[in-house]
Amino acid sequence: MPSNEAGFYQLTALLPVKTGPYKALSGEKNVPQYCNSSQSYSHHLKDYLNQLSDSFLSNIDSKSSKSGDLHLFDHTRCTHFARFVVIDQLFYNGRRRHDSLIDFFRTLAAGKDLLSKKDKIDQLESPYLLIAIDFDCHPSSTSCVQDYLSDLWPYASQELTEILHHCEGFYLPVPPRGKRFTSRTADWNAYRTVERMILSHEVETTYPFSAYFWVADKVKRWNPSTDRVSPSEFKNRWGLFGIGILPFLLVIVSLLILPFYLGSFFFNWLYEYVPPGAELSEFYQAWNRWGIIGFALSVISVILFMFAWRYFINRANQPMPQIKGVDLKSISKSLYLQGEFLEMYKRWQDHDGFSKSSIRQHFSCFLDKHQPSDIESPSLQPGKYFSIRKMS
Amino acid sequence: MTTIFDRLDIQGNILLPYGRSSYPIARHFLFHVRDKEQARAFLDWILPQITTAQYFPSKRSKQMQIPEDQLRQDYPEVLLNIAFTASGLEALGVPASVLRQFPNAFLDGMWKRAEMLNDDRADWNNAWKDQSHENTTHILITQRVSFNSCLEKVCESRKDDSFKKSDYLCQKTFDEARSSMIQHLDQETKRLLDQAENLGLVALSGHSNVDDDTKWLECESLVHTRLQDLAIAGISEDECLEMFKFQKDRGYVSSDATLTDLRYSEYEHFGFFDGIGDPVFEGQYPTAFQAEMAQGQGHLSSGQWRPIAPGEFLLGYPNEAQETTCHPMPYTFSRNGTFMAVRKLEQNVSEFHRTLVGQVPLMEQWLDNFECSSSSGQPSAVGNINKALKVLRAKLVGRWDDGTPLVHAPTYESWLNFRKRLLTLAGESRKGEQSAKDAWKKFKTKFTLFTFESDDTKGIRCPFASHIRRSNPRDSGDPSLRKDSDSSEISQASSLLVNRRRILRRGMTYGPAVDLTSENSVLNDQNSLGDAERGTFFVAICSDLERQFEFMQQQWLNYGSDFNLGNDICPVAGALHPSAASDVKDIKVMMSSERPDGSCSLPFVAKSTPRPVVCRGGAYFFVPSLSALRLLAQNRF
Ligand code: HEM
Repeated sequence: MPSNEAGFYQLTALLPVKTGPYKALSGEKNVPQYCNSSQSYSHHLKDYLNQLSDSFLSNIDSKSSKSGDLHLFDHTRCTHFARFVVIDQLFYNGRRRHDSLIDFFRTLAAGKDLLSKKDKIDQLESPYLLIAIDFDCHPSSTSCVQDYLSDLWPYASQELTEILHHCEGFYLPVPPRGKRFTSRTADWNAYRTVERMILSHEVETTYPFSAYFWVADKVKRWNPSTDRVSPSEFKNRWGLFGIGILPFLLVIVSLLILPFYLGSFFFNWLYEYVPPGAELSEFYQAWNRWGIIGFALSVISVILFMFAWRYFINRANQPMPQIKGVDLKSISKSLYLQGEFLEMYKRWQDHDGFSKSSIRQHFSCFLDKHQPSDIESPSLQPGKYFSIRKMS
Repeated sequence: MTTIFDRLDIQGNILLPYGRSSYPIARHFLFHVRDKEQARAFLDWILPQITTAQYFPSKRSKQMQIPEDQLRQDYPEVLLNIAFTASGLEALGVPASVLRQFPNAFLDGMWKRAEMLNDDRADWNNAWKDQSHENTTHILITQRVSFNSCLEKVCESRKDDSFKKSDYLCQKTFDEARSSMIQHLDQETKRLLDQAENLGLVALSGHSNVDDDTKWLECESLVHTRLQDLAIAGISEDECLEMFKFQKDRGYVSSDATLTDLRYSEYEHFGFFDGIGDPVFEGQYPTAFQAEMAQGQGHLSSGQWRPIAPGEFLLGYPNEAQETTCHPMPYTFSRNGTFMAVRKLEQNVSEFHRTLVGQVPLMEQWLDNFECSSSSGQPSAVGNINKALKVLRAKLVGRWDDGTPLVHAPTYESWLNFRKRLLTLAGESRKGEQSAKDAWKKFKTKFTLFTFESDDTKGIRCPFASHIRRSNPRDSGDPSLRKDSDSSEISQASSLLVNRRRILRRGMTYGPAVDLTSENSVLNDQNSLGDAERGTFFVAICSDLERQFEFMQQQWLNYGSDFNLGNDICPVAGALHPSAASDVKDIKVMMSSERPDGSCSLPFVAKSTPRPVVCRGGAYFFVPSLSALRLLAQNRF
């Protein structure tokens, strides 16, 4: 899957924003201050998002932020990048380039003048909300987005519901008349709605915002004249031959044979008019036989080509293998360990003067205290950023 | 296509630095423009006096075989250069349509961007603060006078023809020449200030290190005695004497030389030889000379060093991306001009030194027990204390005190050998034989010709955290290299990451020197240091302040991620963000070492002070060409 690559999931969703004046979520009792009844949905959404990012910026300074105020996305400790953006309208990028000679003949034929031809300009019918989140995800997983959302939900349910409420197609089930949902059911309903909205508006993505390919495999530059071929590469080359070159050869062969087939078709048609009993020339018979073979080969090659194509696309859609150690938790942990290890070493060096006898002790203290194999904790503190809700 | 510059149109200090011993004092004046008509008259007056990049007649110009018609007739007595801040250009009436085309970093000015450079604005001298409209800095003028001509006069007056450039002088001659130079400079200063005053320019004060009223910041190269230079490797006085005797016997130095002779040096306050690494770019030197100069200083690809594209340092020429760097129109106004970042960096010399001295005992222990890479070098008579200190210092910078790169001489013993060879070759070449001269020249390229990725992949010789490995990582970080690249690939590493991040350094030291010859001097001698402020007036020239200077400062000196060092800052010139400064006690530098069989031995973790340098202010300037200056003076836009 293109959106899921090398251990990262690149979630991109584009959701149309409702038009018309903003109406608060039904059931919301205390309407927040920033709500202004004559605001459009898109303006209201921008206000809401700005509020999130303002409190984010003012809390970046670790000193002034209160401990416990975490960024919405810090709780999951696997989000590399997250953006919510309102796109009002597409930008007009100027006229499209055409071949002016062809244009000239076209307009000449149509009897119009050259300047009257106008480009069609793409327009959005409503503003769109762009959601772009990069998060860690195992390549073999098929429910990355669902898993991620359910991890995030306990911390961000309110924010996500409010944000998606601005989008077309958001509706919460209504309880039967006279009854009310329990808070758990309401929460579950909201979750289902948010998940449905995001999944149904997801756009396939092929490039992540965050990439840490520092241990990526070396790109193999293969030089046929000098490089010896190892058995494993040999296999790959047959693979390459199978999916890349064979279909190509087959297409060429069938293209070559096609004239025979068409020829025999033609002769058949011709001989339809031959009086019955007339001798068919040997040439015709031979030609006809070739035509049948040609036809068969073309059909086979088309079928093979389709298979090869399927194989090719399937291969391309398989996520690249996960790169070890580049998920957010491992990165934080390794930076944390690097610093602490140097600190431990320095303490040993300064206090015990390289004495061999105590290094084990220092190291075992280090292991106990910093738990290198536990990537959850202790680790770098997630930034003490914001939540517009007060954490309890 | 070779680039040929119109050297008469380019200001002098850009292409090549002025010699720190031939023009050892620079006075930097900051002016505020009150009236643009008058200021233009001032520019008209100063225009013919601005020093251009024309070659000076010298030994070096002979070496480079500069044709007569490209040489200046005389050796200039006074050097004057000029540069403008964005508000300066505005005050001079540059039309908004032109000004708006200048890049953001320049238009903002350093004061606005101080936070990004991790400066604490509270530390800045008032003169640099861009707060009130009354006295913002508009113009920087730098004035220098020739030392050699004063020296020549002193020698002449004594009927003694011992005058020889760039050599040691006896104390008396030195003092006389220096005071004559200062006298001359005072006259020139008075002339400049008078004219400025007549024409309504306000000379600002408060950027000096002396007092709040002085109208200039005076930078003077540090003076070294022959003994100081001989003893730079921390060797004992006896050994120095022995070496000196050897030099005399061989005729490397004249017979009347003494150990107390003086000269202007290239050292900076922490005690390191400075001004070695400087990028070489297309057009900077005559074509025949260029390829040779580019060794180790240019752009490295496929194992070949070539000069860097001129557009990295001058506007109006193609840069390393084969584009022109942002150059405002009219073309005449920006072409041959460039930008300059100026920073007054106070160096906490005593604290820096004290921090290192405090680690000497441990370092000695480490050297004795674990530093196994020491080569065959015979045990030296040197006290281990000095040796330990020298090693510590070298590992922080990446060069030994005299500039010898750690990549070539990773251990103290190998440095001593390197130095011995250096001094011998220098002495031989001074005697004038061509083969000796060639050998000397070849040996000297070692100071700049080395790589990190291929010569020292693991940072065993030169630590990743050291100043020169950070500020010019050379071939490290080549994106085509991976963890598992083999040695043949590594040896082909290119300087791709660095080509667009180079700066021309034209800084000088200011403030009185500290004697660091003995590692205890600072500790015992607290008072003599007093409160005198000293440091480096750092000048970086580049065509894109944001991409080159600011990137280097932020990403490489104030942050360590590119070198896998997390948040660690440069132990020599890095700065922590003011909000984080109180949490960090020291800056760590890990020194690795290797056993002779290639396996790793125990490393040493050294520390530097968290604030080795403090920025006291600075600004971004546009250094115009002479044509641009004419446009400004005559207001012909
Ligand atoms: C007061 C502060 C500083 C001191 C004492 C200092 C000292 C040194 C020394 C001793 C060297 C080695 C000699 C040489 O290669 O020329 C050096 C090189 C260098 N420094 Fe600094 N430096 C300081 C600030 C800075 C700053 C702020 C920058 C850049 C923003 C910088 C950039 C460089 C560069 C680019 C080199 C040349 C490296 C090379 O090409 O190999 N330095 N410095």
